[in-house]
Amino acid sequence: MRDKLFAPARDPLWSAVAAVACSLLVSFLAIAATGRDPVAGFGNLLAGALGGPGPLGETAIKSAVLILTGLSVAVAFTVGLFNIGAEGQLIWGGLAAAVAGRFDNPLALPLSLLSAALAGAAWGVLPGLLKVRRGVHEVISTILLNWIAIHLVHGWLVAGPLAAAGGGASISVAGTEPIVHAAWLPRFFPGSRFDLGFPLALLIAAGVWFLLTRTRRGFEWRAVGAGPEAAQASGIPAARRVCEAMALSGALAGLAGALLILGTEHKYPGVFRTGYGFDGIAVALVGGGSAAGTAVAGLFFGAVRAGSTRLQLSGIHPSFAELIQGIAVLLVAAPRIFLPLWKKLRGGEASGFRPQASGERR
Amino acid sequence: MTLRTLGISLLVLLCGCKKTQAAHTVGLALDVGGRGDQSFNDGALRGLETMAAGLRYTARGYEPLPDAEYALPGDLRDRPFPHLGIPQPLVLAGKAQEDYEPNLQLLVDQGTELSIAVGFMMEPAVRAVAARNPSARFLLLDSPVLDGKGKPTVLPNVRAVVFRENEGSFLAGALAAETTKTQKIGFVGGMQLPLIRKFEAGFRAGVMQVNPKAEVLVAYTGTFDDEKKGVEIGQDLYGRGCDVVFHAAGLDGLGVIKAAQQAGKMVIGVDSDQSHVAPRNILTSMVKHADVAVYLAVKDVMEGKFAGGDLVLGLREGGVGLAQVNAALAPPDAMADLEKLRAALIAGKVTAPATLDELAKFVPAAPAALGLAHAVAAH
Amino acid sequence: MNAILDFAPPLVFAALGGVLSERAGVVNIGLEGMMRFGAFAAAAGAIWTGSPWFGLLCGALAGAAAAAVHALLSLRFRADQVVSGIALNLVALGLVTYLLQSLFGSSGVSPEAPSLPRDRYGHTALAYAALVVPVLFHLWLSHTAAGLRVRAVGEHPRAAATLGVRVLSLRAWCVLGSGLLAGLGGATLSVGILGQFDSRMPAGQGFMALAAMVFGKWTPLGAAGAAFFFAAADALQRQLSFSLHAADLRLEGVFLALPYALTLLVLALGIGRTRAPAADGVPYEPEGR
Repeated sequence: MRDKLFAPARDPLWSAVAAVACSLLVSFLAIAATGRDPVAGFGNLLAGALGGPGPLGETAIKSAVLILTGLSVAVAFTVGLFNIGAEGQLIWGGLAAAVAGRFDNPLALPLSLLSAALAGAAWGVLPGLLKVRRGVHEVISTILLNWIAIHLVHGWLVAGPLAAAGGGASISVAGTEPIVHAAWLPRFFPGSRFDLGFPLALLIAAGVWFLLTRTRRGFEWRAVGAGPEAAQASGIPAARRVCEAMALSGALAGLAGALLILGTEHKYPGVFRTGYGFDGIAVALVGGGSAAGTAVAGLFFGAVRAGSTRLQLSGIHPSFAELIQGIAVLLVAAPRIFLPLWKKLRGGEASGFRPQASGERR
Repeated sequence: MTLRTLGISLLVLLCGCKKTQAAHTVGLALDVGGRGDQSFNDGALRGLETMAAGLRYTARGYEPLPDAEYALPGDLRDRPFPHLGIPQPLVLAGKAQEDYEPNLQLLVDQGTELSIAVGFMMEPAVRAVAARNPSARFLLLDSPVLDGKGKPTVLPNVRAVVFRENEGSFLAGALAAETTKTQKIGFVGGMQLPLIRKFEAGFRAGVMQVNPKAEVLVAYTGTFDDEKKGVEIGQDLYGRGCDVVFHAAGLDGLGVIKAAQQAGKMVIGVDSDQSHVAPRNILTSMVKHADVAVYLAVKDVMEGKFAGGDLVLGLREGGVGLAQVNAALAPPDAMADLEKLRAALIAGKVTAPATLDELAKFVPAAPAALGLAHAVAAH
Repeated sequence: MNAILDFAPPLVFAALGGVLSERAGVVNIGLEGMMRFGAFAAAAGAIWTGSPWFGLLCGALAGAAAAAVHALLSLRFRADQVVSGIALNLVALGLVTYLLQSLFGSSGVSPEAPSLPRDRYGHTALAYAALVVPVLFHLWLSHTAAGLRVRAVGEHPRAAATLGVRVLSLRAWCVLGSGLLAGLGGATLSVGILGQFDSRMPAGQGFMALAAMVFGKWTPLGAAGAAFFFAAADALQRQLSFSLHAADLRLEGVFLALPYALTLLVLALGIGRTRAPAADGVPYEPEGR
């Protein structure tokens, strides 16, 4: 079944585009329904996302993180696993970056990124191992691992052993000590938080695309995703491949955490709530599970997020971005809604698009 | 359809981008707690909307607040806070950590004369935006401005307000110790932050000062936004024999109050006067006057007296304290004792510890020296 | 003990919802979203009418309405069931926050909602319902003709169809019932336990309900037992952290993580490998289309 997760979007790319467009339309109507001016609202949304270097920088920051968590989910999908644990992997990645970033040396930035990737990979490989060795369903194990990460990091490490020393009675400093300047992601434009994170995320997306579509390893991963038994029978070590992909998935989520810490926070804050791990699922789904699609979807949702800051000038709560995101996924989920339209456009032939599998087992 | 929408939006964007704001506009950026947390964020909003602007916020937007309904909670009733006649404030919500900086920048771009950042989580954002916009003015609540190494510093256009929560909590602890009949008192914190430890340390010292035999059970929920966790821990504490519990746990604390209502026991509220949430169960609230800090900053801006720098508000400055004590719950001589302790704290005869390390070294002053009526002798 | 009976019901109802849907062959990752809709609608209904019982009804119906979307997408439009469930969760997250803001002008909590009455032990009727419903559900699923049909549809839909069972419509009813139960679970949170809706509800409870369902091997009694086990582990963790004065050791986070780690350990030690219903998550196409 997992190999068919992306059947809809893989075939007609425009179905994802249509879903996104429809979700914008629905949210346009939703604004109007609550008695606000939707045109002004969308004007603000656009201005907040694209209106100048400042907003563009915000879009880039959010997009970079969403692209990475989206890729994390998409990579796990290729071997047929559903990684709901990107959030926990992101937290460990962020913490590792914050710790490694404390040591002042010329290589502080790459070392911090590397530690984040390793930490994320370590947390990501766990559900993979549990799945292949002990048969624990990854949806369950990743949910549990998220909670374990949240409590261990926020309730213990950042509050205790790794907490900043602070200074005196009247001063309450939460979080870890700040990272050194050498570990900051460099910014390029004055008045904008656009930093190295965005080009890095695009580069990684390209790398993932290459890995998944142009290498033997990528082919084997997809084979395992299509059917572990068949893959095993044809000589692919399925269990090993699952763990590898989960490690990469975790590493990508860990890097997403590192971008937030090294790019904007510059320390591990006392309260760090992102939700980006879960958003990654939406990004991967709308992006059709391909690296390119995920990058485009991440860009779109990042822009909506950034724009929702300014949307508040029209009296609309920023949670609106989540609403748009949810509706888009809902519509992507149901390609058949668009099927009649598609047929009409193509003059009756529904090429490249087949109804999903019938009742046989996978 | 969407294309046309897009076109229209672009048009609007081009025309409406540089909107000039009326004079004295004040902006406020909330942290993730948001509007309706019944504590710190709502306190800051009360200072801005109710007190300074004379407005009431509803689901439809702002409405003018009729004078008859301009009532301030508890201990503010006796102090005059006339409306300042500012236009509708601009209030922004923050969904995540990295939203704070664009939110504050947006306030500055909208031409607000004062931008208020609610909560210590906003500190890095205030530092960055204030440095980038030296002519804009900021009020940062609950944290000093820090430099790149995490040490406190001062920016000329930022007023950073911190509160001596330990002093108010000390009084709350003293009152709890005087009121308890079971000799068991509870403390519920939210996340384990130095800020919340300050409440805990002060509270436990207050209990020790009055009644060293009373036991304080401490628990942290690990969040600020899961009310159910508060109910669970509250139930546990009351089930273990506590009859007074103090919470410093944001939204979780509302859950603790719920547990108190269900158990018919006493609870001490936090940040704002929470007596309206459970009038029969709230013994008092340890208030942090974010409202007053906001009101005074707005007033200073309007009178041209706003200056940057640190402001530490403790008992002496009226920045923290106990809201109206529920006379039906507290013992009759408690009020006199509280007054004496308050004086002693202000005079420096007693120091409320602010960290657990300081708490470990805390030695209660001799009750006789303070003239406490109710104090239980040690040993 | 008290704590378990008070805090397990939301999880019990939602986990039973998961069992109903998946035994009929439809994966339901949308439990979290259905609970969220249920919790919000229950609070809103109770506030508007003043009756917590009416609120409860609203909550259950809202859960069912959300489930109807899931059924429509996954059964009528053959969307992938996992994707559709995730989408539902995302919509719930955004839409409910948006509604909370536009109806009550708050992004934190709703106004106080009337809550269900409690007996002299401090329990609501739902606490007892959480004990009874799993047993009834078990009897229904294992010992009635209707229950047999549900199981057949979840294991061998094609065979069931040849025996004259209308697979898709039966699956749709089970998904609706699943939403009803999950909505009830959410309503238990808002009008049962808290008397209020808070913006993060149900804060992962729906996902934990999924874990309980798998833990309980897709059986009503097992899932309910697992839900009670989770609540017990949580209560135990709090007792433990009190007794060891963990606050001064600053180890609270470790204790908070303990119940989850324990669950993972139990699963990993494989109290028997779990097996989902054979046709769980497999879309069904009627013949001759």
